[in-house]
Amino acid sequence: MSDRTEAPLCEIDDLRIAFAGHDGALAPAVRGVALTVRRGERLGIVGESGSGKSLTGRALLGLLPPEAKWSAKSLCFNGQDLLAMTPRQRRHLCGTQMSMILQDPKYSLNPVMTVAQQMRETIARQGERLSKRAMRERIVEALAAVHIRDPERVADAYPQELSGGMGQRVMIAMMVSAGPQLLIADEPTSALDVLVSMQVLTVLDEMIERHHTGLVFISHDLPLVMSFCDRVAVMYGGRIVETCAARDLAQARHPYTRGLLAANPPLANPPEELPTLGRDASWLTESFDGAAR
Amino acid sequence: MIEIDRAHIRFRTKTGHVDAVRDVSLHVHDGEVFGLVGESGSGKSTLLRALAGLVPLADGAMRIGGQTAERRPRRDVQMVFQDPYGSLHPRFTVDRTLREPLAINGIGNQDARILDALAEVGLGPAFRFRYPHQLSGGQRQRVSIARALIVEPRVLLLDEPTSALDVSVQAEILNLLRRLHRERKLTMILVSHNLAVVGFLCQRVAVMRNGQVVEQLGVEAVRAHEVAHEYTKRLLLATQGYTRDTGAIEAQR
Amino acid sequence: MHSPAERTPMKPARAHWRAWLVTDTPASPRQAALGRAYRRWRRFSSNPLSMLGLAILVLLVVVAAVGPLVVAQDPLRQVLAERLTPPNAAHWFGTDQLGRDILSRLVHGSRLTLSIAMLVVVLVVPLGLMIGTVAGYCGGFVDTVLMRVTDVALAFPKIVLALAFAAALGPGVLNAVIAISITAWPPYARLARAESLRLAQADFIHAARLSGASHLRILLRYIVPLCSSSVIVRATLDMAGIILAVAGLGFLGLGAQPPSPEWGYMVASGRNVLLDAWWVATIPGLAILAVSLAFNLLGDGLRDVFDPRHGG
Repeated sequence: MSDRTEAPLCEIDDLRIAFAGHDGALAPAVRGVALTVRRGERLGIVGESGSGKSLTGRALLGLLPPEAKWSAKSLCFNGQDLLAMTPRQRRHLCGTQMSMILQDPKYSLNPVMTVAQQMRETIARQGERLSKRAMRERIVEALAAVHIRDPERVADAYPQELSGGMGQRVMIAMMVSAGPQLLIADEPTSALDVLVSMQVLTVLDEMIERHHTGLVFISHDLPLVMSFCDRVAVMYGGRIVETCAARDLAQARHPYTRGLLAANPPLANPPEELPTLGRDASWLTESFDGAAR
Repeated sequence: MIEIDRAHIRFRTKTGHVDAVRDVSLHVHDGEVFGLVGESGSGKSTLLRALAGLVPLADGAMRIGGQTAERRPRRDVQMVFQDPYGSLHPRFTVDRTLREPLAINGIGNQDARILDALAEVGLGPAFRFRYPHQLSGGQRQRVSIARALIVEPRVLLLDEPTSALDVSVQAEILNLLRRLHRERKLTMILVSHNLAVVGFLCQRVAVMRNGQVVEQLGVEAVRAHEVAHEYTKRLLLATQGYTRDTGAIEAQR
Repeated sequence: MHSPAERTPMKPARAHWRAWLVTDTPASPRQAALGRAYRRWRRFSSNPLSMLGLAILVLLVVVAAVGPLVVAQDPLRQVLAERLTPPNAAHWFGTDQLGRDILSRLVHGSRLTLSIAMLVVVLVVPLGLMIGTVAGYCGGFVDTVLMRVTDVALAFPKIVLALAFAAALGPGVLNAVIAISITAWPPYARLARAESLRLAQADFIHAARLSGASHLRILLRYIVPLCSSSVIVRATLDMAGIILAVAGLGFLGLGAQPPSPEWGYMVASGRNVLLDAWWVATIPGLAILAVSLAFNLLGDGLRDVFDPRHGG
């Protein structure tokens, strides 16, 4: 597993994001989130809608909407301070060392360009100058590496001609095959059927292993994150309420985490009635001790 | 109670036609909760809509209570839809949404019935004159369920009623559906892609793929993993979460 | 019964009413509807430009209603000795070539402008709405037929049609309005059709069908109310164009006939003396500009109010 003495790949401290409402008052969406991710480690961020998990992922890449007002005590990547960088430097970092996969390839891939044209752009940004043939070979290779069976045909197709699972694999080919150090996956399988999700997750698994990439896996699906990630952070109301190793989640201590786990109907021996999650206002303000690792 | 006999549903497309449902035969008993499981494109939602009379059959027959769609009153079969944001008229208050089915069917005592319906789905009278945009996703689904039940149907069809909801809200709605089934002894058909949800509510399950039923089995068999068809096995395995083995099997397909 | 509590200042009472309107647990359909109207008004009034548009139109209505009774001079009275006098104390906006007071002509003409605008809207909007919603909801053959009819109406050029009407029935404001209306409804039909095509697939329509609602009920009570807001917004934005079209016809001599104080006709008659007596054409021209602008601003404001993201 990860080497404890190694410096963390990415570190966030006290991230706060708020949006101005109609009347000008600031509505906080993320309230003081602190995270670390190590090289090769898989961190899952789990929360329901409105918990702020997607915003946290986007803040790392500088992809927040312009109306968002945010601040952080520190935001470091690979020892570099992201807060001190110019937008240009940040963008350069994004293309090469940090990547993101989003939920629905229909919306995250450009619909007026073929797959090959889009991949050409991404590969070119890595800095190498390749001849047309070498570029084409590289593209087909990348598509084959994500287990696409007919990479030549897919390379010349438009995103809307591809199925959901195929589109996500193309996204992975584009974003991960260059071997970024950190990958943020925002609900990568939520729009996919369960069997197709398995395929996509396998491909993601392989890619991450091969390049020793750090992963931040954002999802609302706690059981899935438990099975795919090493560590899990549970978010509620813009804060992280509990962080622990994935295998220890069944013994989670925070009532919200326990409630989330219990709310999933189990296939074997389901109860008469599923326990419902009562929301305690103290979860929004108090910190929970003894869970951070 | 519900009989589907070699149903065949076909859609015309620009280039020809697509067989959404092919030669499906099912039988649902009175008071039973029957599950239809499958991935997208399996035809499960289309089959449900045909049962509701929203989609025509190309061949075969569907009978509810012995009668086909034209013979029985429309209100006998009601449906709860997947998307909570599209299932309520944006300009109608909750009161109006619930009053419409009563008004159309000439049912009297409307105010009392509306209050009862709201109470039954766990919404107090405070919600009565709200507009849909003032309700959360879970609250909208409750209103949809109340609307379906207010005309006292014999059959309730549910098309992925919780897949657009947070898991904690889903738990509340599943509990509600279970209670309603017990109290009203409804016949229900639940369509879902989630085996665990189906396992919680249903007694029998049919697994669909590419417009056909590949297996029908009781829910205990599903829980015990005693499934015959290989596709069902794969679905069951995938429900347990991601493992390298599960992934390897799927990646080779 | 004037207890001290009832003589407390206005503020608490206003706050009470406001709370009653914006509560999210309304206790009756009327409270819910009033609350929704209040929220829409707040959104509308937060935009200063929309309020400007509304203010100008309110002014127009007031002038049209009360103006002719207040203005001292007779719009038709010709005093040839005073022709083409610039704006002065006796004639605030000057006089035209026949010595008629321009201010009073403007005020009397406002009634014409307002009636024209309302007449066209009353004719065009319901027609377009009905044709569009029926076409979109029914689909198939009905849709095709109705859309081809719409295409035919769209193909008529306004001016040529107005000329034809003038030739057949004689020129006049009413005939100009009819000519414009016949060619103005197609865009509304198209708009309504696009909306109702989308809505026909919505789950709440399916639910209504399952409840046993007839097609007519669904069309009139479910679909039309949802299409009407975009059609109304479009109509207010088009109003400027309609007023200009009537003014244009007046300019060509096809609309209002002398000595009617219709604004377009006033602009037309003043163009010969534009360089020497600028006020004869410019003042009515500015009035047309102001009213068109006001309708545009109002339409923009309404569009924001009816934006579905805010709940419509």
